[in-house]
Amino acid sequence: MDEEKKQPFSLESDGNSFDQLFASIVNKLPINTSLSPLRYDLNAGVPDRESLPATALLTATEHVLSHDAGGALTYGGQQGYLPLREWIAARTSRLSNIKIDADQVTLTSGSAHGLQNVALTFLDPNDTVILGAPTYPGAIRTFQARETNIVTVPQDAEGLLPEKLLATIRDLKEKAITPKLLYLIPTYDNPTGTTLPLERREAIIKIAHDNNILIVEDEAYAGLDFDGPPPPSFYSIAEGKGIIQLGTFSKTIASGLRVGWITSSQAIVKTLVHMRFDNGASPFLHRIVLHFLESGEYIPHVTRLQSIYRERRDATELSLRKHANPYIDFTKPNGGFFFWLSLKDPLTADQLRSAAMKSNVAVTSGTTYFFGSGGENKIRLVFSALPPTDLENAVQILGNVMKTLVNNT
Amino acid sequence: MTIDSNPQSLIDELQQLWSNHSLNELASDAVKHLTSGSATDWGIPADVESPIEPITLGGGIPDAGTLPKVELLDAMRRALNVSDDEPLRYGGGIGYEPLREELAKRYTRDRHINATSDHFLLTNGSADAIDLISGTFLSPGDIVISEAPTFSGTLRTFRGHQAEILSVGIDREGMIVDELEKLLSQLSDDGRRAKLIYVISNCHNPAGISMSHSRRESLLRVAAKYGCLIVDDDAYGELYYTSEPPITLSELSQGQGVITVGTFSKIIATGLRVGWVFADPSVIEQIVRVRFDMGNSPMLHHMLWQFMQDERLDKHIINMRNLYSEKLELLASALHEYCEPYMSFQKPSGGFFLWAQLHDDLDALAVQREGIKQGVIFANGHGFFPDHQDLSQHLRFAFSWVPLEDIEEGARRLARACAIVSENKNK
Repeated sequence: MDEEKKQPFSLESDGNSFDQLFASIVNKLPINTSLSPLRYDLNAGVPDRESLPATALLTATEHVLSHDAGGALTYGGQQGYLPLREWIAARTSRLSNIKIDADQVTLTSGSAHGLQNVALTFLDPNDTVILGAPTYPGAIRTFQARETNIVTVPQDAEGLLPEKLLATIRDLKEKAITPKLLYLIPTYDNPTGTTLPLERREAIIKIAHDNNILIVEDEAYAGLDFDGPPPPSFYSIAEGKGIIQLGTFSKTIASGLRVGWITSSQAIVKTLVHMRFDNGASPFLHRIVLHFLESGEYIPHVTRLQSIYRERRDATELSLRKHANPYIDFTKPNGGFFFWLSLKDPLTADQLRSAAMKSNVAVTSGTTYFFGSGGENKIRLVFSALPPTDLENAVQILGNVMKTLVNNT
Repeated sequence: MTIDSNPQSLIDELQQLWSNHSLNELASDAVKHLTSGSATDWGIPADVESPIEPITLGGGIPDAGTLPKVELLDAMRRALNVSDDEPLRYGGGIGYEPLREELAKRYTRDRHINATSDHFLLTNGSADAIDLISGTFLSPGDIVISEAPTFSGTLRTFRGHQAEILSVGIDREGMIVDELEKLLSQLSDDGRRAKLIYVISNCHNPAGISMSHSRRESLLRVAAKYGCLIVDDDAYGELYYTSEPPITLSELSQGQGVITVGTFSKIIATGLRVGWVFADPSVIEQIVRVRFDMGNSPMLHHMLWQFMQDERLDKHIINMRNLYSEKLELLASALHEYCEPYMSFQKPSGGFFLWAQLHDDLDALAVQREGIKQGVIFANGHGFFPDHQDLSQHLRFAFSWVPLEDIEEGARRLARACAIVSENKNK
């Protein structure tokens, strides 16, 4: 997929007279990523297959269709099913210690859709957004599609650097550019796996607020804690002021549901709902999800996921130390799906990715996660999708590939 | 997680900092382009109430009794009772391949087009399909042409994409293509061009009519001559109450220059939120490219695929046609019996809607308001026009959802409302 990233898309005319009708942005967007067919896929950030709660979801479907078929099967409005929004509001209130009402929550088709809704609501062409470098490529694509000016701020092992953020904003100000949004994944970041410490969170909030910049806090991996709870969310620290929080059930229930949400102030949520053109997501799915959440199986399910993924993280870490230690540096993630490896000289990401592919291991080059240059010596490893023995085998292969590459240099 | 670490001073400071700013500074231009509302709004006045349980001839949704809940549950059981977990994982932006394949078979069978799964993209209902098409083709300021009247939800979507909307009238045969050609030629003289022509060629919403064969052919010619893509919103195309379905624009053109939008909303249930785009694979590829939601729910796609096996969907649709055509007959004859003095209409050949024109300068808004007081709810015509001005005063009656036994009483109440408005007018 990193190869694809660097390849600009060109519209090939196949004789259709409407080629010239496409909007100007279409051919500027990179191609979407996809699953790998290789034996060991450490590339796609997907949940564990075995732990998907098919039976519980079927039970929920039965309940919904026998108790509320009319509601489930009829348009549910653009903001989404109220009782599910109430559940999310109550849970977010509990986690953040801030009172949140159901009208501060809008349901989306996953958090990627939530981000698109935010982009459409706040960004015009040439508006400026700030992203971490590296960051989630889906966010880069979404902001590119709005034809925005993307500015990046470097991250280190603890996440986005507040002083660099401040310097970036100052530079922009000198050019009379006022950024509108700051997008980040503060907890178990994709791709770096890092979690921003509390002091940095506070500093970033202060800087954003001083400069009238909205913070979009993507909580896609929230709940996948392996070593206790993370620091309070941006939303919690700022008491919601100037924060748009994106959430999803993709990682804690199933990505195939496509149910996510946005939490923010009433005024912002109202505007986000206003900027929907899809007539809302499925009220059927919303009811299935709510029934599952209320069945008492959700919390144990998340706890089970935490222990499955913790075991995988630990197995991966151990194998990395055992088989690849001389060639890499990394910080152990406290949750989420990812290891972010820094390759030591003379290894490069592209070279390693291609060589690993020949040995049936798919990994992602760090360049995928940068807007512009960067990540040439970084690799992202997904540990969520495979069982520990597969991870150990894959990392061992990867270690051997590294060794061979270094020896051949 | 606790927030003991939250310094109150920071909160106070934030409060103060934000008081200097307004969120309006941050909103995009598109937000400012849009009036409030949603795709399913049909302009019901909020300040009038029915003193009795009202009969609703309002929204275009299927009969509640027909929702196939047992069959859908069976389908979900089969979908989830598989050894692999495919229904619960990301399915990709284009949607579940076997379901697209199933749609392709259907289009090949019913519309005599050589359709493959590559011609289809699955969406969050047809509203999302139109949003995605707009995102693929429209930059701010681009021109789209719609019929007037038309489905108001789509106009809202075009506005959200900051398109310029021009419109062409319709008559008993559908879009007046001569008018369209004049408009396109005038645009061309001004060095401008429309990108999309949005039509509802089958069982029109709100007008109920299907475009005549000759109109379809001339529309295709004119659109091709000026290089504009036709977007045919075909939500109701399978719900025809004539012996034969209309020949679709995509069949006539074999897909040349036509994008068709379809949905399970009207033939199964609006709450599924599963629709599709049918277009040339090169167009589908571009639409997937501007998609950022990682696709819709594979769980629903798998369920619908199961529902489409063994002709279950076909049988369901035949039942729907029978039921809705019975409702339509009842409504049409009740309107003839009770409301003839006040309105006239062309009986639709399919779909969910009957579009009636009021006589003698009866005001549609006044009849709608009085209707609510008399216990019958329906849409006035204004909201279906791009400029919200319906000069000839129409009402739209949806007959899909209302129970059969309520239809006649609904027409009686409507007649009372018309009589009162008429009397008041002549005072």
